[in-house]
Amino acid sequence: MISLLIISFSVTLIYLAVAERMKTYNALIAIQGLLLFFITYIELGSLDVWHLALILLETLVIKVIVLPYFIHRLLIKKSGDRSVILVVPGYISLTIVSIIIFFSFLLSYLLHDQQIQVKYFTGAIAAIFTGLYLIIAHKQVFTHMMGYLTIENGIFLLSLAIGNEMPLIVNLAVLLDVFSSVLILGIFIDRLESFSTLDVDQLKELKD
Amino acid sequence: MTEIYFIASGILIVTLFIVRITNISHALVFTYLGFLAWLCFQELNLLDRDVTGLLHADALGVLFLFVTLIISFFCAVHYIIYAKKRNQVARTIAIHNGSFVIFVTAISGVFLSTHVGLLWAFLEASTLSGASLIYHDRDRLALEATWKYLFVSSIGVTLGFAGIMFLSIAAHNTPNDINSLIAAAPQMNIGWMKTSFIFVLAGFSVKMGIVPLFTIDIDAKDSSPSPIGAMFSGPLMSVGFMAIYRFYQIYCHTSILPWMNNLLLLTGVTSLFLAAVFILKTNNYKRMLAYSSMEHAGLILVAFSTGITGYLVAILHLTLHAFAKAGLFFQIGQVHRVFNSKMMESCGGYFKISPTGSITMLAGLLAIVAMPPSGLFMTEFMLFKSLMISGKWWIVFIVMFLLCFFVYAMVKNFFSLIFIKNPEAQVRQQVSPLESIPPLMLIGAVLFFGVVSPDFLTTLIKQAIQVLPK
Repeated sequence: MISLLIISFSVTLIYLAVAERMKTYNALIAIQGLLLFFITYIELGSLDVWHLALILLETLVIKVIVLPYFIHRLLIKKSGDRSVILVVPGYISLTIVSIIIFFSFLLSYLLHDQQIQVKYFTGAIAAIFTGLYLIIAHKQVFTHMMGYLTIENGIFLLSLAIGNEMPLIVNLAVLLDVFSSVLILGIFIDRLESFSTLDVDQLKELKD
Repeated sequence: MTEIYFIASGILIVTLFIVRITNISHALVFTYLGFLAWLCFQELNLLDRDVTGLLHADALGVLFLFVTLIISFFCAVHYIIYAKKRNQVARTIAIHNGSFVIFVTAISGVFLSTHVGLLWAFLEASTLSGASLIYHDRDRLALEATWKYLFVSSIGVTLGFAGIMFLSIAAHNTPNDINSLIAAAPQMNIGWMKTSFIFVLAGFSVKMGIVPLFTIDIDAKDSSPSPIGAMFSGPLMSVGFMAIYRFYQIYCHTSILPWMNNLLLLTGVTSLFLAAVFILKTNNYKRMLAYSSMEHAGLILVAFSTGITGYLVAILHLTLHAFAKAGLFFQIGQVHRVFNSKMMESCGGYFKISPTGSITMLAGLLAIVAMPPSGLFMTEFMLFKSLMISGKWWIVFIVMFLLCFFVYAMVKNFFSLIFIKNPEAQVRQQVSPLESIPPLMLIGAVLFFGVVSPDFLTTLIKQAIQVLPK
């Protein structure tokens, strides 16, 4: 079951590479959140109730409901469901993300570390590098934010791969930070839009 | 004790965002600084006792807390003038003061954290509140700088979190508090430790203003109000250093120590090189100061990489640089107000306009380019000595060669601002000589420390480096 969920998670990464509409990106990030919720629920069933409640709150409430709703409301609905500009052609991105997933899989197997679980580690590393790739390959702040969220999801999966528990207060602080960082990023994208500078090429006034 | 401080900070932050009466808002910031001062002395008294818990400072934490307290105090004083002279509305002041208190609380949280996860959470909080401070002027440039800072910093701090995850893999089931991790380090897997350190150094470079993620730090210092530039060059650089230092502290008793030192040396020299290239190119005084901060951050890493003598030098250099650079940022803020510009082509003949300000700038120049009697001269002298003792002659030559560019750029630009009359420069506002007293006090302290070495400072630093390899 876990394998199926992680494969689905990897498929969302491939889809992210070729997605063209803002709504699709948002939906894919929400689906990733939902998959993470199921993975967490199956994996961490034995945890104490507070830890479990906190992690479920992070995945189900924040990643699946609050953030996608917020992004939709603030960025997509306001500007219309525009298509993003693909600087790198879709088929090249598709190939690159597939290679990233393949090498993540290879790396996880070659490491042979008892501490890490290969399945999670593959998904986590693939998501982190796909997120970085999305940021490098796109020139719009919206897709940069989607890349950032993908990296966040990858880090979340990585913490599952390690399974090393942190105290509740630390988890709470991390959750609060991640949540507020996305909210604040969203607010600033909204401000950037008021200056019609959603393309990073226009953000070039600060230089020597 | 720390609980009381954080609860008080929380209450003050909420009040600051609600209250829209300017005088009360400023008074609340000073009330907060009173709590911070109380915390500093409490933590100092607790140093010799065995305290457990997620939040308590070691000797280095106490030192940086005091540095933060002093610079924050001057920053709050300067912001009152900044807001008054620029006719800021109550709402802007309330948002600034609220964000400022969150920022300083997050910084103090980093110095207090004994758990790597909590340290990360405070680092991210400092990014978010820092973004609000940069956005102060609410114009297009401020927005560009804020967006870049927020985004790149978030990516950097997230990469740092990946470093923490790799540390967790290396540590197996060891709890992630620093003392347990130090004890477990000799049994950790070398590959994971190295991966973790690379991610941490790359990710947290954003806070220290070094290679690779240094660019946004420069933009942030340029676009934010001058008092905030002072905070970014002093306490925030210490935050970045502290984050990297914690991981160094965990791994330093393992076989990867020479590898870590080489990596720090490489990062330090590369930062110095890039800062030297950019400082020659820039035509903006605030960016020049920002590149100078990058230069000093590079020197600190080079010093730290040389081992036991270098540790003391690095921490002392970081502390003194924080004071000198804060003083210069406050003073350049006044220059900005006088000429209504921070561009070199629009400023000149400052000596005739403000002799007190010019003397402060000259004293600051002396301090920052490490001329005797500057305390930074002592630290750079000790740095070269420790490099020579460790046989790294070629590094001595490279660093000395690169430092020539900084001295040239800083002296040339400061002299042209102070002494050369510029027909383009128009005086927009007169500044009271009294305003130069706070920067002169900070710069004076750096010059004084070059002559007299206070016991309080050296004892704290020596206590801090006791945990590092001999």
